[in-house]
Amino acid sequence: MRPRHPQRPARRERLSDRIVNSDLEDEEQSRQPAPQIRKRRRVQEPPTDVSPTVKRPNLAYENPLANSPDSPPGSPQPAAPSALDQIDLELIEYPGGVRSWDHLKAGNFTINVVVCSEFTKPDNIVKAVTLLSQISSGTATTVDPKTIPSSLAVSGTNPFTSLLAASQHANTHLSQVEGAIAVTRLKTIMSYLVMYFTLEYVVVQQLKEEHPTEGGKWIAGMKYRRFSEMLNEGTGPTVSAATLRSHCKYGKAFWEYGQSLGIASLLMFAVLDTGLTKIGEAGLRGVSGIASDLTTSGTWWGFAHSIGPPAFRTLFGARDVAYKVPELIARIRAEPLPQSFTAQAINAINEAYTSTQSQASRSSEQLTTGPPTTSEPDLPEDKWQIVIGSKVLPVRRHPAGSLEPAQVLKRNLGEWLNHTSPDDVVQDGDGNSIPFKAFRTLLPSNEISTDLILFYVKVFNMKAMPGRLAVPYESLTKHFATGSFEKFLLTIPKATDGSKPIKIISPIDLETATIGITILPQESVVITHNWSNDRTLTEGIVQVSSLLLVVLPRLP
Amino acid sequence: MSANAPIKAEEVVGTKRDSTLRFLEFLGQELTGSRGLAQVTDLGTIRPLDSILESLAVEAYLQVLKDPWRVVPTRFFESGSVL
Repeated sequence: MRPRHPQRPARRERLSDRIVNSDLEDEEQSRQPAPQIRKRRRVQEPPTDVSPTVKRPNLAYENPLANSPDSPPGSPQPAAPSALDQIDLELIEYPGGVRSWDHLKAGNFTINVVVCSEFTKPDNIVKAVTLLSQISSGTATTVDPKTIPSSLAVSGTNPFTSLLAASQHANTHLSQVEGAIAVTRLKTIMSYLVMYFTLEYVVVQQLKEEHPTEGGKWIAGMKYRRFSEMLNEGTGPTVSAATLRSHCKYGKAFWEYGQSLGIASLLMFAVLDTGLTKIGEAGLRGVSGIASDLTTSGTWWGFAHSIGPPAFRTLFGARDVAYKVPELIARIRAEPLPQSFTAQAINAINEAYTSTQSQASRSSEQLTTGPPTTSEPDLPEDKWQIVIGSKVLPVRRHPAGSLEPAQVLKRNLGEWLNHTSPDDVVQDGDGNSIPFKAFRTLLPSNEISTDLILFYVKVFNMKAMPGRLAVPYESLTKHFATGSFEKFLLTIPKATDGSKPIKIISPIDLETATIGITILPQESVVITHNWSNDRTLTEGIVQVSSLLLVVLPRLP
Repeated sequence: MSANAPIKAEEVVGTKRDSTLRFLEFLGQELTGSRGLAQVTDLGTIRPLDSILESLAVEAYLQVLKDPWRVVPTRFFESGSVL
């Protein structure tokens, strides 16, 4: 162990300034209203082939307080009322035929391979939200201002004229498209969609009005030629009926993908390397099945469910909100997710998030302040629709939009804690065992057990940004005592830019309070956090901090 | 250098249980750069203890989906993750 750094005045002043500024900010922030408690959570449950009535216990909620005083010995003891009694998790029950998403890899269907290998990659997710941010903020239009806007301009007073104009722009774009950059690809996808909508809801409609005695077969045979004639009347490049047929076919395919896999899937298609025409040619066979299977991927669930609303608003709606990448990343991370999502995906997204932040600023502290949040609420799902002429197309939100009520189970958190045997041993996503009685200390009047603190330390470490780590205080002191603290620091994952550990968090379990310690090894700074009103602890806390500081190694 | 972090008046609690909840909230924020894992709230806003408790309970539940009283097809959790 090395002695601590000689303190430089500049650093001391900086810390002091930070504290003063924090105090000022605290006053401002304390005036903000407290957040609302959401009473319900929607989470994903893995698929099961077995009837829930066989495999699951009866989870009908029973208020423990309502138990009769004459309950037989051994029955659950009434627990104190808890906020957790009011929280129902909504769990998804998949039909028996649904496979896990990784099962799709075995298929030969091209779109299966694309979906399985690419849709759930965190780096593609980050690319997709970056694209969405560019489009929503308007920066993407600077790439090629002559191409059509990336949202559908279908809300004019004369929908036919508007759509035809959009289709002419679309045709211009499709004839010029080069490369596979995401913005261009998204515009191409949207162009296909415009073509498809125009054909089916304007051209066909007009043909029916002009030739009321003709049947559907005649209309189908004429519609491409008529559409071609309409477009070729304009100043854009000429287009054959056969080419239009392909464009519209692709448009139909992408519309079906968007409806089945979620609007956010259009973003994902745009950032992939797979050719759009190849996707369009793949056909629609099995898309609905893929959609169901794909929802068993926690990664896709989090992306599709959280990015769907801003994607709809940007691509098909008013496009009146400029979404920032950190905000979109935060949406994904805020999704209640199954354990399968946690370690790899969260870490990968965190790294991408860190990288994004680092590009804007090298200040690591900026990471802790988190992203801004938009003040604009998402549109309710019943207002997800596109109006084309006299036709209103509802847009489904994936994956919840396709769920039947019977597929959703509710599980009450208070009941879960109260009625699960305390002797049960459960495992977290990393395979660590923990007695269930530790979780029951979440219920009122119990001290949060040491086992539970350790559990959360492990959970949060799994999701931590690189360079940050939580360590039980006992482990920390052990490293100090054995003089291995420097070696210990070397085991901490480095940040994406290769820098040394940034933060170490540790709890101190005192008799009357839990204290937090933040160690910033690079700066030889130890900060203690005492949330208790027991100010008599202050002196002892400072002593502990000073002791830690003495043994901090000198890091370059 | 060592220092005591400024604690907002609204964050101060009276029991050890509540201080532990505050620590666990702090832990998640510091490690992941967000206000909580299961719920993102306005930054700088003092979260009620019930809200922290809720997030922790949800997190716990999500982590133990594989608990012994609930049978899950093992193929879903092959190699511990579907990623």
